[in-house]
Amino acid sequence: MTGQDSKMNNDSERRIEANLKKVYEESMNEPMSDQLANLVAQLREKAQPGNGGAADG
Amino acid sequence: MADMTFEEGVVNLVPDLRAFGRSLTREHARADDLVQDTIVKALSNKEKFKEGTNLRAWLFTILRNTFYSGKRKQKWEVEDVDGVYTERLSVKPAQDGVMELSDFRKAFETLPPDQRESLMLVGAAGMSYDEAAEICDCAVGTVKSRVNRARARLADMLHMREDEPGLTDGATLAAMVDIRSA
Repeated sequence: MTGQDSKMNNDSERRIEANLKKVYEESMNEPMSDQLANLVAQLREKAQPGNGGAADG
Repeated sequence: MADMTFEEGVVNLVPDLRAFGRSLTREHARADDLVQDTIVKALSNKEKFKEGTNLRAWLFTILRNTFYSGKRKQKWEVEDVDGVYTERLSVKPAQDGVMELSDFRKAFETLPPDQRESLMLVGAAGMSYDEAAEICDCAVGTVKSRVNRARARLADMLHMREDEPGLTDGATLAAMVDIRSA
């Protein structure tokens, strides 16, 4: 591999990973389904001190 | 995780699970269903989680196993024999010739699932090759190979190998996807 090939590969790798991270972050922040949101709310409730989470964990 | 309950740890990782789930299912709603199933399984098996180990990798493994188990039953990831999925990948030409994130996502979603998961774990979720190999239940060399193939394929599809300031416009990308799927 020439130095120029290597540079191009590094550039494309960097651009791919930058876009990949954006896609990942976008997916993290998409609106949550109602069912999942309810489950997360229940978990948060359970995680509150005195609600059994710490004792279970 | 030391001062955190198991439930808090799981809640904190929900965004990561959703992103990883989305990369596998390619659909937002199915990804959330998958995350929901993952959480339920994690809670019912929480005694199997070893305190002080990597909760994120443990949950990712459950999510991945749940996905492939569901895929076998429901054929989520069907071969695109009739071109329906490819049809949905048709994109409008980019206004300024620069690749939009949606174009990148569409190209990414044409990758085989084993390449998508490996690239997402290593390239975006910040997992080491060792962690990704453990999650994917394969050798480290296999993960490296999948990541390299995925990068090469994306670079080809998006013309990143050429010395271009911008990337493939949407129309060209759609045509390339069409050719590759034919």
